[in-house]
Amino acid sequence: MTTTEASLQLDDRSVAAAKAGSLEAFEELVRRHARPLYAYLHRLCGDRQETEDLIQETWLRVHKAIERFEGRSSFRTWLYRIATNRFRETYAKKRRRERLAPAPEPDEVRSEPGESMRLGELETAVRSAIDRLPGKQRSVAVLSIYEELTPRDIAEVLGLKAETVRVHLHLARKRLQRDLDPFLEA
Amino acid sequence: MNTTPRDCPAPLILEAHFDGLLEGQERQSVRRHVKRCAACRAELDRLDRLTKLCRVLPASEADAGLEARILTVLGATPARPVLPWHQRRPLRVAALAAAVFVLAVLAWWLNRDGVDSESLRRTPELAEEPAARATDELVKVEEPEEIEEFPQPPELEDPSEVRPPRLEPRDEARALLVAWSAEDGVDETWRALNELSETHPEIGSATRLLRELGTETGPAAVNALRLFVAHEPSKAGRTVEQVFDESIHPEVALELCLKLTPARARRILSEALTRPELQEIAIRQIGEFGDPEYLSALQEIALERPELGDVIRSAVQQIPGTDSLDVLLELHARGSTNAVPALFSLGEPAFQYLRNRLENRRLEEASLEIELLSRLGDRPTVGLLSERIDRIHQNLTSDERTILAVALSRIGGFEAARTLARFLREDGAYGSSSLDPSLLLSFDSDVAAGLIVQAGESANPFERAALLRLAALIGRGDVVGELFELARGRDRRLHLPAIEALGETGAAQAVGPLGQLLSSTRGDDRRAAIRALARLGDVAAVPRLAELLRRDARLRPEIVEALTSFDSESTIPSLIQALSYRDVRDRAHAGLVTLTGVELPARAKDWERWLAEQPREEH
Repeated sequence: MTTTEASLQLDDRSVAAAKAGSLEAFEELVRRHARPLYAYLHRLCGDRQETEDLIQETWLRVHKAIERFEGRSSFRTWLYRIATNRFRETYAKKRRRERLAPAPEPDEVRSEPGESMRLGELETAVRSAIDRLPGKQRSVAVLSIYEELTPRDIAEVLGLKAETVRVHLHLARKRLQRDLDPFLEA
Repeated sequence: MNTTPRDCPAPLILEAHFDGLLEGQERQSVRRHVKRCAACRAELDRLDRLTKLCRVLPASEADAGLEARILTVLGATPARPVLPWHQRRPLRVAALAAAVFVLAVLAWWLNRDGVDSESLRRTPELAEEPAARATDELVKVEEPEEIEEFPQPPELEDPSEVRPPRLEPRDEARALLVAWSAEDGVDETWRALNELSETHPEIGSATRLLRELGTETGPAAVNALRLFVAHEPSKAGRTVEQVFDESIHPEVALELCLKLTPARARRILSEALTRPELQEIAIRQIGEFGDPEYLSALQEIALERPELGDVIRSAVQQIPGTDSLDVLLELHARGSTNAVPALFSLGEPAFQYLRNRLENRRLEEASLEIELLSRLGDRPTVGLLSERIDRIHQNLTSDERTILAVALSRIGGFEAARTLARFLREDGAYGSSSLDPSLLLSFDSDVAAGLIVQAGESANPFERAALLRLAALIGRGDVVGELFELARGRDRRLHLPAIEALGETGAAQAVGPLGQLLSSTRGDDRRAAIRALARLGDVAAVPRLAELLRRDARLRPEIVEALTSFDSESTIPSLIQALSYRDVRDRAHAGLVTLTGVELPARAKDWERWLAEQPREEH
């Protein structure tokens, strides 16, 4: 049995127990997935406070809906789908706000005090390049590059067709290559 | 060995190879290619470097308390900082309460009538005790203290027990839809439905929910349809068709059909045209749809239902192409509608179309086009009518002359007046005019002044006379001075027509100038002035004519003729005096008999005696 398969089995058991009302089982799911999910959401939105809000909203929704979760996808895929939907909503709101009021420079928005000082130039460039990706391309790129999900898994998370995911990934890579060109050449 | 770019796999295939997604034959083929293609190897290398580069960004580490914070929030749901949608805004709660109330009333009404509603069959839980539950919910959501303070519940083992009280998910969706208004935009309600569907997977996706709720009856269904079409027009077609076909909310389906595919819209519109109760909405929609295919159907309806004439006119004028103009003209000709506003709003293309029709028709068949063009005040039409008059003016019937005269006077302007003057050539200087004076009211005195100038430049005596006469009819007292100048000016050709025109002005101001012209050295001018004074019919001219009667024996016939035409008792002494002149005695005697009704011999003494017997004030 591979690590992934073992992990899936553990999730299945915890989900079944959580559906039956076990708080311990739900806590187990939180412990297993909260940090990777935090990392994923932070990569998507780039802001700690926003990530904190998103992760709490996500788990709240998971908590409300888990008894109806039928296991047609893996728990992780379902969890990431809910999280990505929360991010999309926040992203859409932010876009609307930005349309109404001039947006500050992306770096100023994303970087928290002291954080940009710690990040090297390269990290800052990568962070900015990811931030500049449009919503869907950003989700696809983060899920592919950092979460190492296959297009089929990404398709399940985002509710898209696998072919569409490949196109978004291609476009995201092109854009990242363009933005990070000086570093790639170096 | 390198290959040409033409042999290289598509970028997406190369990326699929990079992501390890290719299998079997395809994988082998790309692998073999990459081995011998430096460009593809470079691209793969670039992809690899990009991935590694991106991964230098470290995963952001949450602080140690993350899990604890999450679990705390979950363990004390009502105190959580992030609230579910239905508790985020007081307004939303109020809207939800109102919506629940509407649903409750609706359900009560349906139950009262014993209606086995489709919507209630679909939602048995609502049918069982809708009013009771809805009222309970209403009471719950109306208590602001509970909502605002979120009192901490006792310690709970089962997290599901800490959820706030809620409607059944479908009722919740219905309530959301009732509270929705199109002005709010679709995003928020759509998102709320999505959240609902995520939380309650058994009700299906938001799309499925709208599809089902849209075919129910009631206000939630109408809004479900509207939201569905606004957010997912490509998926909503079948549902809208069903709602129309089953007459659930046909007028709403009709209202929304234009946002569907043209084929669906066409089917619904065609069907709606056959249903009298939907015809009016369908006609409005057809106008917006702009498909000329419906023109003949609209024409038929206009004949059957004249009360819809204006609605049909508005629709037709939105349909592009000349076919719609044909229909408009036909409707106008049959009195179903007034096409003038529609044609006016269509502007030059409509005018051009009417002119083409006018050019290609015989005059007697083109009265509609002439009428419309003249009502539209289309100046280029004057040119067309002018050519037509040139060609066939000898054969114009009096009706056709009237149509043309009316059209020219409606259009107005100098050219129209000039064209109109041609009719006057044939009328003769003092014959009855074919022009209704009211037609000339549309022209202003500038036009009259222009006609006078034009007359001065014309080489044709008939045209000169006609132009001056029309100028007099249009300009009245305003042109007396100009006409008087011509009547005694250097160009003698203009004397007679100008003097005659002074008589046509009908203006009291013309009496003085004509009186002066009675002293002209030219006998023809004096005769013309006498005729003009007679035409004016102003008794102020009588003393001057009486004096001339004594002075100028050559002018007596014209003077007596003029005096008798006045039909005024003030002319009696002059006419008695004329009985002394043999050459005009009979005419003067006939005039006196007609004027007084007294049969006396044609002897001056008899009439003078009779006049002396009459009370003075009568004369």
